[in-house]
Amino acid sequence: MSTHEEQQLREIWKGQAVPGFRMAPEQLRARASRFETEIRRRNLRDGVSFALIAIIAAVGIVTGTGGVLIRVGGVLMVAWALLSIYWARLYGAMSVETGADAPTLLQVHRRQLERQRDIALSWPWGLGLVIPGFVLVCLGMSLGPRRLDWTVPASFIGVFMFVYVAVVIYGRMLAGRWQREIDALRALEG
Amino acid sequence: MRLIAPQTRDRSLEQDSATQRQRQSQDDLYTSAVATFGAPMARLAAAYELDRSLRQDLLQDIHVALWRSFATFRNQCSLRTWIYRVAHNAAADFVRRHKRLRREVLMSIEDLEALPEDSDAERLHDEAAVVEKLGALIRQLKPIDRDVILLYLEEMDAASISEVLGISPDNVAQKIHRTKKLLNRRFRSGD
Repeated sequence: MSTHEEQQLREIWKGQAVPGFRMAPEQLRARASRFETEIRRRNLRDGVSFALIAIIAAVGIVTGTGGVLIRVGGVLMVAWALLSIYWARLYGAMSVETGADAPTLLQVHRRQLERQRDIALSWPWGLGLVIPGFVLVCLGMSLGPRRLDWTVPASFIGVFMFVYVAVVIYGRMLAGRWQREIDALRALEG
Repeated sequence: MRLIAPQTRDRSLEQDSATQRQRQSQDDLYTSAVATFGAPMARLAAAYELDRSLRQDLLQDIHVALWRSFATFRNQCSLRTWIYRVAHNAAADFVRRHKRLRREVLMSIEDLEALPEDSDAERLHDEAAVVEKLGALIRQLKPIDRDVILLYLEEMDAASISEVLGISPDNVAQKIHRTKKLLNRRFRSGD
């Protein structure tokens, strides 16, 4: 492509009809505050769902008629839910990053990929920490005062373990793909 | 009746007036940015989003991001670099959020260059078709590559593109070289 053609192409691009658009200060403030509210609401929703698990487990411990195993399992599940609330606050949804120094697109892109990778890598821990409590509750169903048939807790544990292994494998796959993208971005920084 | 100490009242008035001044300067910067860079921002939105209603949403997102960013603008870089960084970040974020819904597979300039051509090159005399084809080409690309082409079309040099995107100047030069080759294959003079 000759310099003339290049220039012609750029002129065509810059000459395309685009609507004149401008927002009033009141509109900008309203939209910015709506945006912040959405982010806060999303973070709150994550926290509330874990809080509900914690409350249900706590109520089960206090009022339940289950044996010791179910109670200990419940305590572990409450601890897991509280830890998850803390993690949700730490890694909660971020707002669009304009930052104090307007980071470059590459920096923003890389940080978001790193964050996604870290979240995917944390899945085995996030989900894994609930396993002891869950297993104890399931065992408690068979061994406790109500003495359910052992096939019920065994199938609960089986399904949970299957999901867990699938999540771990999928998380590692995603993290690997994101790591390759992060490396490619690092190479672009020179 | 509540009594407020005069010093406390003065301090609070000072804070109010500082906030007022900051808001005013934020609004002024936004107004001047839109006057100078309104059209490139609209072209950016048009290149990123084909759907008209989503394009309007994107344009609003860009304007809000820009206005918010001016609260922290202290001449860390040129106003032009700042505006392009914020606008392109907002656009890339918009694409990331909507990509999940559309399940698009985005390519790099290199991937696109390796693809065989299945149609004739567009002649430059049909301006509407050229803009449409350029838009379609840009929308196939990953954010960084998209922005290299867009900034190149906005007549930015390699150093400025590097400053906006954070890619090393060598890599920008390489990508521009590939962009030119790609454009050469897809567009030709209408003479």
